[in-house]
Amino acid sequence: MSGYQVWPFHPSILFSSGEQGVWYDPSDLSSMFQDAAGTIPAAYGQPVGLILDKSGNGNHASQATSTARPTLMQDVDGRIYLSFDGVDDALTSGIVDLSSTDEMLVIAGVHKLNSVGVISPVIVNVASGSIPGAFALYAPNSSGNRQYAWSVGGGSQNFRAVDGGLAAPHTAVQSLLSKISSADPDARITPRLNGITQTAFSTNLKGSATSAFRVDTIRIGVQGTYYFKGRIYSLIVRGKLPAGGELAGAEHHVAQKTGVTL
Amino acid sequence: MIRITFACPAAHIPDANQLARVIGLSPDDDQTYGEPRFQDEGGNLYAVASGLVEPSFITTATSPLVEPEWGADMDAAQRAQALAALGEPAAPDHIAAVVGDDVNEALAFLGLMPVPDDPSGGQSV
Repeated sequence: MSGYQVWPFHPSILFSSGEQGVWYDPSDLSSMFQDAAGTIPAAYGQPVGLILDKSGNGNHASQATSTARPTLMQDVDGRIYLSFDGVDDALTSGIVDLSSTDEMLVIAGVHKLNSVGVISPVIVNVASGSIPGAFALYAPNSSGNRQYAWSVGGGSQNFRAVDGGLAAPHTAVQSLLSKISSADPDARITPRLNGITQTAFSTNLKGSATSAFRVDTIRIGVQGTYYFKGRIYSLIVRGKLPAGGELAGAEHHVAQKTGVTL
Repeated sequence: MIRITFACPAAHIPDANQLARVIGLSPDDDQTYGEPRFQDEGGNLYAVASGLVEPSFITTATSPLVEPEWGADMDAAQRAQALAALGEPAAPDHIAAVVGDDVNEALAFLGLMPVPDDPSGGQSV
């Protein structure tokens, strides 16, 4: 790895210089609660109303409405995840100020259950992809040839989707790298799946650039009236592009939590 | 806990949210039913909610309502309670509820499907 250490890797390294972002880790039961107020400890088979942000930024995510909470579950291999029902389950953070950066790294460990014809948002920060500073991951997006999709808003939308052999049920480490101010569309939106930068797209919109990301919430499993159906094993958002071995380390960490071999 | 999936006709969403506020766990449960983004074969629109509840929920939901400490529109809640129908397909004249772990099976039983996506909305491009 060109002298960079991938293992051992701990996601807290990503935030060690005070980088803004979130790290949600459903495998850590001590970071979750059944209620939004954080008074009832998490338990398998029970709703999760609050997940604490382990990045050190205090960007905890919650759900006040009791029927709209995801469920804490464990798969047959013992891996722990949040189950989203595709109907109303979602978690939303407080305001996350990403306005001082034009860089973004998002890594999600997902098992998607919606395959075609449904907008299924894994993570979104604002309801419209054309809004400057918007970013989102989908699994899938609105049509069958968008099995996974990525979006970054620069005033007009940068959007890429991939097709082929990825129909639900499907498990993946889905990543997004972005330098949103770049004149190069490939730098504005760099989609990765299972540790590989994607280059063949079923949809490829080269939108525009903008100066920075947004001051907004982080929304897990919801965009407007659209909801994600599936599992989220791990989720990292950082307002800075990875350097050295950070990307490989972080993707391998999420892959291990998700049961994906990179 | 058990999973219940509800189908609330669009016209009854405000009342159903008051019922949720009364029998739910906090005042925030009055946001249980959002936009009506499901429809039946006749094109009637419904808001759907699905979640885990205590087994005692059904008894609570069908018993005389008690105003919660955070307050609620009890007349609206009682109107919604009168429309509740457990184990029946969705229909415009009642708020249907079905018990079952699989949400897709519940939606099929209710006879509902998502309203097709608006290609001009959100990030669907």
